[in-house]
Amino acid sequence: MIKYLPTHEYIRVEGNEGYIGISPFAAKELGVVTYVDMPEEGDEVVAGEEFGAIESRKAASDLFSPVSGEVIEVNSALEDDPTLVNADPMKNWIIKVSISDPAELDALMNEAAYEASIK
Amino acid sequence: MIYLALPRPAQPRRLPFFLAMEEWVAHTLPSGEYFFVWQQSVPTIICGRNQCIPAEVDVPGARECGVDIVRRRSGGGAVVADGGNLMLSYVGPRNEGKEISAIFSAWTTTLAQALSDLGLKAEASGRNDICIHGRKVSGGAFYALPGRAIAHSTLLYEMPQPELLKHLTPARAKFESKGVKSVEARITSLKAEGLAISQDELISHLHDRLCSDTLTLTDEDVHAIENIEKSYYNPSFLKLDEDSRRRRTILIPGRGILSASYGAPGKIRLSGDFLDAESIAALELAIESIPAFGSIGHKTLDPKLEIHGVTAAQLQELLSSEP
Repeated sequence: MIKYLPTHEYIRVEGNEGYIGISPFAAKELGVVTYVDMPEEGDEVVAGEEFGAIESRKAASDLFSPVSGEVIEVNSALEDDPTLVNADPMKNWIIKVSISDPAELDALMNEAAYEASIK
Repeated sequence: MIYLALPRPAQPRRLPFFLAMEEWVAHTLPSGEYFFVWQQSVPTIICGRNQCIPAEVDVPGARECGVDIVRRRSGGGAVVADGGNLMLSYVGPRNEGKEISAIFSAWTTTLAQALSDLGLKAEASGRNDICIHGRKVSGGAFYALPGRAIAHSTLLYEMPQPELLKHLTPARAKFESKGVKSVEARITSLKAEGLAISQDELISHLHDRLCSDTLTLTDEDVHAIENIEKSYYNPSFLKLDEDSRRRRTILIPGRGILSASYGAPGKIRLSGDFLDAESIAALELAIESIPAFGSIGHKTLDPKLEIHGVTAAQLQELLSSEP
């Protein structure tokens, strides 16, 4: 299951864990990504609140978490090559979290609603 | 566009107040276009969100001279701000589906037109600069928030104090000792280009030309901005003690500063505000295609290589330079 925030972050849910990244629309809009500022493993993220930032050759943007939980992994490959986000944003997630309140997923957009929102 | 005024404009402030003011405007005021001019208290070096400050700034030297060092939430390189450098903020709506770069280009073009009205040959150039006769007089950095876009632009009324520039990029002294022209050769000021009005008159012109109304903030608004301002002094955001050893920098004469940051073996990220994305990608590819890349200083490039004015020799110098 994949769900989205209006600010273009997605979460791909697998059991009690979720992979959070930015949508292809956001990656295209930002242009060539030059840096991804990520939290550390063990940090807590809160639904709707900033957890990091992404900088491109066009602008810097904050990253917002779709759910609350603990960061269990960061995608360290992005530290060496942030353009992986441009290459395949759905595959190249930014953080992996353990989801503390699955009910928060209900407030997020499904794929169809998100696609409609960016048309 | 609405001009934002402070209740007590005579009180100069540290620059993070105005960065916080941008955020407050974006989060608090109704959707629309807003513009304001910063009134800073001390000379300041403002670094980009993800820059390694010790690699860009002589931190102890700057502090000794009373120069403030701050970090903004937008990207891009370090800039200096003293009394001769006007700092301008634009906060506007960010329409989903519209290219974000189009919003910032529109702002840069609007500002260039306002300068042209004063008889200057000001033209929007590159991604976010304004040039007069090919020399940069204004640069911009951008920060995108949900539904809002923030642009802050520098505008050189007169040239910055050389003492201030000395604190920017410690490697600069090395370049100048080799007789290489520094950043001053690539920039110009409105005064140098013949603008005969005072700074206050320039601000009045921008106010009249860009804005149809003025909104004066309340003391309560200022208090809310001051609360946001505190986050800019948080050591975990400023990161003044970051390890700078993984970054190297050289000056490309007549163009700008080219920097290399090293990640894992075999990976390098280049940056230079005079290069477009395609040129940077091509340069990075050229470096990473060198056999056994990773043993810095022992690599060879095709001597005929030249990408966007950067030659193989210059790239070699960058890779071999002292961090």
